[in-house]
Amino acid sequence: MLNRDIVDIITGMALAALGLIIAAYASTHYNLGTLQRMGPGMVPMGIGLIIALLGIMLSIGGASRPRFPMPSIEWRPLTAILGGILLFSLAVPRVGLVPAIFLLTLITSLADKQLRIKTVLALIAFLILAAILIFRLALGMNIPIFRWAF
Amino acid sequence: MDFFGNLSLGLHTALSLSNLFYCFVGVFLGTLLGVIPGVGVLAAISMLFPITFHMEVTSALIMLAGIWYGTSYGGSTASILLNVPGTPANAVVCLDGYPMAQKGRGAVALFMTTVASFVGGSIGIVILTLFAPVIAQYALSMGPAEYFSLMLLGLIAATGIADGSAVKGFVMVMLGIFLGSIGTDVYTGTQRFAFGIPELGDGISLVALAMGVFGVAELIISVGSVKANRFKSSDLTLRAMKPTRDDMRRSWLPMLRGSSIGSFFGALPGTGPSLAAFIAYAVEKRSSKDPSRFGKGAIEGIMAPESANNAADQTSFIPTLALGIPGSPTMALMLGALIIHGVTPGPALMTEEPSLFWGLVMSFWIGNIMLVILNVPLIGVWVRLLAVPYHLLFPVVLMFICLGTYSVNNSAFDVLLVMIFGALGVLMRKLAFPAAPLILGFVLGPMMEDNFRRAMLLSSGDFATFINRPISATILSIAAFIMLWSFFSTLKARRALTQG
Repeated sequence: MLNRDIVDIITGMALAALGLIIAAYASTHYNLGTLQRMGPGMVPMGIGLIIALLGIMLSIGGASRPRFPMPSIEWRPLTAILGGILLFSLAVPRVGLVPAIFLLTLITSLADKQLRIKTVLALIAFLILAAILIFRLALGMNIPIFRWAF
Repeated sequence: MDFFGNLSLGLHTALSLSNLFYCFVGVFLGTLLGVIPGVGVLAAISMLFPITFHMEVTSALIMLAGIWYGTSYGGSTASILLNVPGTPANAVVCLDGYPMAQKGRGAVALFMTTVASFVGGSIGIVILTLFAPVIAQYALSMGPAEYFSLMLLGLIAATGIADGSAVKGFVMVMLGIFLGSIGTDVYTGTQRFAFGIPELGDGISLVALAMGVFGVAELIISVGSVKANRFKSSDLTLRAMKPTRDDMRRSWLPMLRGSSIGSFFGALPGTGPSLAAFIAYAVEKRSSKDPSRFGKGAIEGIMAPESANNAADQTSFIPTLALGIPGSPTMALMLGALIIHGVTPGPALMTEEPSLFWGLVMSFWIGNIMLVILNVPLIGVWVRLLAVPYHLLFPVVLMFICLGTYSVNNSAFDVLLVMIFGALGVLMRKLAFPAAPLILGFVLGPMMEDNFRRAMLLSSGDFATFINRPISATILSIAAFIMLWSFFSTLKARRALTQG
């Protein structure tokens, strides 16, 4: 099996499992109803079963193909950008706009090795100014610039 | 009201000072965001979506639409000069646009794509103007079974004809429908898949999903792979843009063919500009007497897809405005803007809100003319923008994504969703799962479930209602045909395109 398209086989099986979980959850937690009067569980259960079926098809397709090179992931931009967004979402409601943008830009700029600290600081200043001008003043949105809410 | 009365009403609306202003803002931002790789039209519109809450509804739609077709004009710039598509709809233009730039004919390519865009856009607008009212009239007699079948056709068309594995496309559609089912069930009020998280009770935000899967994922992939531009903007004089007589002779037929293909696939729900451009290129290559010129800077290879994607931009308003069925995620956001302003999308829209519909249509002419001005004499400005290193651009884009998402509902949870969907988007990209069907399933899923349940209620639980009703049966047989055709022929077509 290892000389087959292992990526598709595994993704397919994972999808099949996900589909079955969705179908099982929907049919046990929500009312299925009848075909004429469908309850909230009927359609999600159907979707889950179709996903499971497609997952199996994908696995079979993968098993019939020779091995494909594993896709590589560049971890640096991935972790830096996702981490920056996570920090932003945690920071905005607690400490306000300015610290949130500071954190977001500082962390995400690590995604690219070429950015130097001076440039990053200038970028942060520019972005904070732009955010306040556009979102606070031009659009009149009510995001606190600084706050302390823990 | 008669046809010409409607047109003059529309022109009157579109020419009002505020609408002219918002039209300009739309096409300007569209060009700007189109030029920058990594910001597709969906991310662009999601970012500006919150702004429209504060605007009058016609102006809001005029602006959003301007961004929509503006990105197609701007997107070809990056394709030609950097070999990186500004938006997915311009990806095919790279194949012949970039070789043209390498041969020192970049200025000609930029000029000619603008011409192609304008011709395609104009033909699209004419078709929209002629057909949308007819279809809306027809649609008034359609019931839930027909609506369900039509949306199913859209989903099948989107996955069946598109690039890549059909199974993977369908998986994405179903996952999208599943994500769309999260939240409160409209019939019973049951909270589905909310797992006690109050924010999930209202469902997942389309903006968060789109920003994550398209915006953030694209950025993560683009960082480090986009190289700075070596093209000098001083090379882009009006004289350098002048096409040769041979260019002109070769261009007009591909433009017409491209516009027809684009108009057709734009109007079909589920397919859109990207697919239209892809097919237009394939057709052009196949019908060419000398296919070996393609990929080496053949002007036909940029004219056909560029006119196709712009024609599709315009005709995609046909299902959106005449039926209330969004053919693409972007169109779903447009409908979202309508609903927020209390306008119900559907076949009655045209008669109930004539100034909105016709004002929007006429604003397309104005917008397209503005775009020609923005893209020919002012092209140097955009090229200079491309010279800004990408590592300075992406933090700016990311800040707008985060803050834009946050501002829709003042919800930090939505920003968290952007992160989760961003990770999902990268995973999908690496495993070659297409993103557009996911969003389309998400958008159409709840509408399909609603119409499916209603149709079954009316037919007393009999599935035959979808086949017994003639319109529904016709639509379903087209869908079945596309499905069969996709399994047998796309493989072949794709092989031909990648090998030759």
